[in-house]
Amino acid sequence: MKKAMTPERWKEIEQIYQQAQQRDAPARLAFLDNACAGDAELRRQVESLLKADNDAESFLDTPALNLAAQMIADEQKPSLVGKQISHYKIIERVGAGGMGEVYRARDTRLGRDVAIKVLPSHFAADDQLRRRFEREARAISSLSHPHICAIYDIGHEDGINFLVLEYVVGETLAVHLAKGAMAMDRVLRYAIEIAQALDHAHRHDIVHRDLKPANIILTRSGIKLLDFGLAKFQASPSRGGVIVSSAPTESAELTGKGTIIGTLQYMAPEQLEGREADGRTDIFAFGAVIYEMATGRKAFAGKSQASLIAAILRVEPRPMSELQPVAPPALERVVKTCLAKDPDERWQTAHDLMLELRWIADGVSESQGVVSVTRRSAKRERLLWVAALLATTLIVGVTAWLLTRAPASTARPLARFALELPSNLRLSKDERPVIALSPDGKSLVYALTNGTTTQLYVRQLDQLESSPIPGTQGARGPFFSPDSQWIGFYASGRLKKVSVLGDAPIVICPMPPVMHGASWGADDTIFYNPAHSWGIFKVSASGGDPQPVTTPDRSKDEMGHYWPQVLPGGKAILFTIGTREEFDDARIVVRSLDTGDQKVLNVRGAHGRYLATGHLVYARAGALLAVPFNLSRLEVEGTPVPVVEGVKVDPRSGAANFSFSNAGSLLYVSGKSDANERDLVWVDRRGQVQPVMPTRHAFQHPSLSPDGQRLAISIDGVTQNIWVYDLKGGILTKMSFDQDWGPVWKPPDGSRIAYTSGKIMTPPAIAWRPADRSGEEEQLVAGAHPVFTGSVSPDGKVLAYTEFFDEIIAKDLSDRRTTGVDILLLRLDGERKPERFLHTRFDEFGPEFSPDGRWLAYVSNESGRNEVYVMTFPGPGPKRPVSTAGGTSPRWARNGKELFYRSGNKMMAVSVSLRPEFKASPPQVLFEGDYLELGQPDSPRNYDVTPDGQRFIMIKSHDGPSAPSQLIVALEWFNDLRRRVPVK
Amino acid sequence: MSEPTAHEITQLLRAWSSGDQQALERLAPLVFAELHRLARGYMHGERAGHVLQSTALINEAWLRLIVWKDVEWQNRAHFFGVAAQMMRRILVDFARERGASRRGGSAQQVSLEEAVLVSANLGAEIIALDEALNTLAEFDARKSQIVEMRFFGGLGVDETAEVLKLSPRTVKREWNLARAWLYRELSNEKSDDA
Repeated sequence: MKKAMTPERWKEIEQIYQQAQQRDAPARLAFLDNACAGDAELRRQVESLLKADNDAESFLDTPALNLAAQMIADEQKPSLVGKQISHYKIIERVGAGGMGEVYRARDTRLGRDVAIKVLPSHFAADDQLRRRFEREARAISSLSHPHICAIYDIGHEDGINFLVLEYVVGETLAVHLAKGAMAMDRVLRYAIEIAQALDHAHRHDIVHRDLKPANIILTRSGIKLLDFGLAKFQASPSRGGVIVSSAPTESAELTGKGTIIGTLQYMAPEQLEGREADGRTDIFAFGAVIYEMATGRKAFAGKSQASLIAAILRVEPRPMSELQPVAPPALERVVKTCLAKDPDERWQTAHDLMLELRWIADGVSESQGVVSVTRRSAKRERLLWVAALLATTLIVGVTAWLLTRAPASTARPLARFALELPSNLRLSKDERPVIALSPDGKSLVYALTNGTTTQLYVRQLDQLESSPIPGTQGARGPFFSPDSQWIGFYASGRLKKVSVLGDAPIVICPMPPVMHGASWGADDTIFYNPAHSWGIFKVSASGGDPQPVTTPDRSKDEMGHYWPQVLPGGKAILFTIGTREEFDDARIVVRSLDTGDQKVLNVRGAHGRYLATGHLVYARAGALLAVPFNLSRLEVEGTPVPVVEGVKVDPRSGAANFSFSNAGSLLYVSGKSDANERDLVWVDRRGQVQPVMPTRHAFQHPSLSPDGQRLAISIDGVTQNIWVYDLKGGILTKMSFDQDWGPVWKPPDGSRIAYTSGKIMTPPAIAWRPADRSGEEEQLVAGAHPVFTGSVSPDGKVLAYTEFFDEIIAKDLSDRRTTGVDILLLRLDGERKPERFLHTRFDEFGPEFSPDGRWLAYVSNESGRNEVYVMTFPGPGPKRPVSTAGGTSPRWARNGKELFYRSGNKMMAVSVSLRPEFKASPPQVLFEGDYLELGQPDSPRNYDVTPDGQRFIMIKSHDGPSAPSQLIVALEWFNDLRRRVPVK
Repeated sequence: MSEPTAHEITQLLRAWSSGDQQALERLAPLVFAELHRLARGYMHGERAGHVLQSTALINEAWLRLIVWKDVEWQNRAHFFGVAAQMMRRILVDFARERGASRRGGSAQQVSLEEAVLVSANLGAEIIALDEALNTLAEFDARKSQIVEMRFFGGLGVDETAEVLKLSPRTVKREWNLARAWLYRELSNEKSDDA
């Protein structure tokens, strides 16, 4: 008996329910933990109501009067019970639906029971439709498979069109699932049977098109799939459930001629978009069915059709493991692959899928669940990795299981393999590490670039896909919190953090744009290096003012203190001292936080890390070396031994791209850094390449003087500085001495060069100085927000520049109260007061004056991606879109007849006329190539064009002999390390 | 059947709201006439989708029966409230008459189509919902009333808000929870029976 609800209790439930409704899934759990603490029944009530709301779909959407009318309409249809059609005697009516009435009948010739489906009357009326249907039904009737409900016959008599089907006794999966999730062994058994049925049909070129739980019957001898291929004839959709509905209700709009048929809930994106369905369409639906069997929840849900469709097109279902902890990670991956939005990304055949399911089923029955929570974490992590590896194996290009060369017979084989990067993305090039493995070993984060945008991506190791972390565009130097729940990084001039569960990044503190290392301590203190020529600072992970911890000793030629690590216990930190020497000879230091005592360790190299195995591991000459480290005495004991070769180390910063989990897996980037190996080249309009200068440097931001005779450029070294290259004389001269980049010439005479200047512990500012080095630097703009150079007007009177106008403390990007990245103006001749020029809630950056000074080209992300626009100057006026498929870094031809910009690897040109009105032709690709382009708000243009518009100066990474970068995982690497470098 | 006059319907509703049970019996045929008109539409191939789009349809139905300017109700809200209540009574009685005394009849043994909703089943759903609404009213009368207005009365959120003198936002929130509760109640019953 149910207890009667009291109004008081109900109020309590309602309050929590409504509050929970306002939160998204992850926040909701935490909220319920808190709000229902100690009251399990309360929580059960709220959760079951939330679930009911989620499941209710169209429940009660149709008014009762209409339902009743429908009821009458149903009843008035003539019944066939008791009649005979052909040689079938109708016994009883067993159902009705969109495809017509269904009866149980007796086949008087063969003496068996059959199901007869009487087709709707519109079939009778439309000869063509009927013939097409008959043809299709015949094809389907050729299918003979134990898990497919057979079509025996098709016929028409007395104006009645009907199908004769195998009579199946059982419950539909839909009815069964109303009771909740199924046991894992049953999920797998049914899934395998469904896969077999699909495989059989697909081999006969028959696509189901409407696979869903209601079309799957559970019988004693296994499952039966119904209604193969019939969905496309279902002109009038099933009314489905009416009051309590498990079927969504299709609106007239969607079921109009030749658009969408079948049940939305399980429909693949391509079906919703009205594209052709194929076997992979069924595989999508199948994925949704497995998901529901395993979790008891629908993979996609929405309160309305629109939101359901949106979910299918765009949303990734909640990980199954969150809803069903015993779901094997491999199954999660299988389902995820089924549910890929792009058919090309799914399993391509039901057969492959079936084999995979069998493999999982074998694992489940052998180990009673692939993931056992009781096992040691290292073991579990290994399993996760194995799943990741298997996922990789199935794609391509795997370095499969490589056994170590170590002879030890007792040791486990060490698995080492390369991880695939998401297609079209590559590891970003940076002087900071671009990867981090979470301490719990479950996920990794990497900074990936598509050539236009760099962003952090997170990948769960038991999954194949990486997902971009929202709000991390331009992020660099990712690092994890000790609980693996947060990722810290540097972006847009600030140290930020973002939850691995999502949500907008939170600003921890402002800092200049160089960050050589950060380490998140157990007490939530972050130790970090804020700038190249600075020591280590600390700041609370929840925000606040940074405090200095170390200061470089200039008398000992120390440039800065990099790559800090908090040692276990939080009493000491490890860091690397940068000098003017190469990082291979850098000193690694341990410093007691209590006493301030500092000890130089007896090793030479960079980026030292203490491991729980009792080793110090550090980088030298492209290898990782290990040496036992005594944590109580804070010193190394013994001789360093190389343990991993070919690790990518940045020569500018000593950053070594490696990271490890607590349980002992190692992740690293292989290959050699090419950071200092860039060529400066001329590229003509047809893509022909010629060298500009013979030497290679870490070039960035080339900028040609107005007369085209000189080139200003940033070169990254120990610090980044502006250099001027005389193109005729071939002389390269350094003209700035701090951390400066992004040079811009002052027209019309090129007498001055403005640049972005990153002084220690202040946000980037803008300064300029005479181009001939005849005078001192003069600050133009400096303030609380980072600013970056843009363009000086042709008359030399106005500087347009970019400002990061972000809030310092936590903000939600989708609802930001500031205007983000804006374009500002500074009158250079009068009172230098910044004026906000473009300040929407989107980001605008990269301003570029037209040669006549009447137009400003710039980049905005208002459409969801970066595109180039043009606006009248000084305005205001309407903006005109220029690029069509993404664009950054606009630059005008000096004759004002063309506008150039970059679109990924492409150099684009648009013919324009500026008078009397702005007119632009469609963009043309001039040439394409792997030339440096960051396209970020804080990164200036990485090309320039000669005054005659015929040649472009581009930056090209040197194609040296170095091996391509790969992301390598070594499982249980600590064991290997212990064996090779024993610790006493 | 001759078209009833607006005045007649108005009088009947008023009589019923002041306790005259016989008025309901005289109103019911008017509702059934409307029902059959709708049903004919369905049988002649009107798509289910059309129906679902239109809570307005109910209003349309009523508007055909009642000429607004003649109505002497204290207000429009009162009228809709009474009309929804009446609709509920008539429709539940209608479902009962069809012999669908309780849910879970014999219709579900063999399912060749999803949810296999034959008429008897639908009637049972309406009866079960009516009972659940009574239960809901015991601890939250307002939510029960909101469902009555919207589901039986066919009123939109704004109209319901007007009738009950609530903000549309409150109606939406309460409707959402009431619907979840009812759904849970009816689904539990279903699986308990199974």
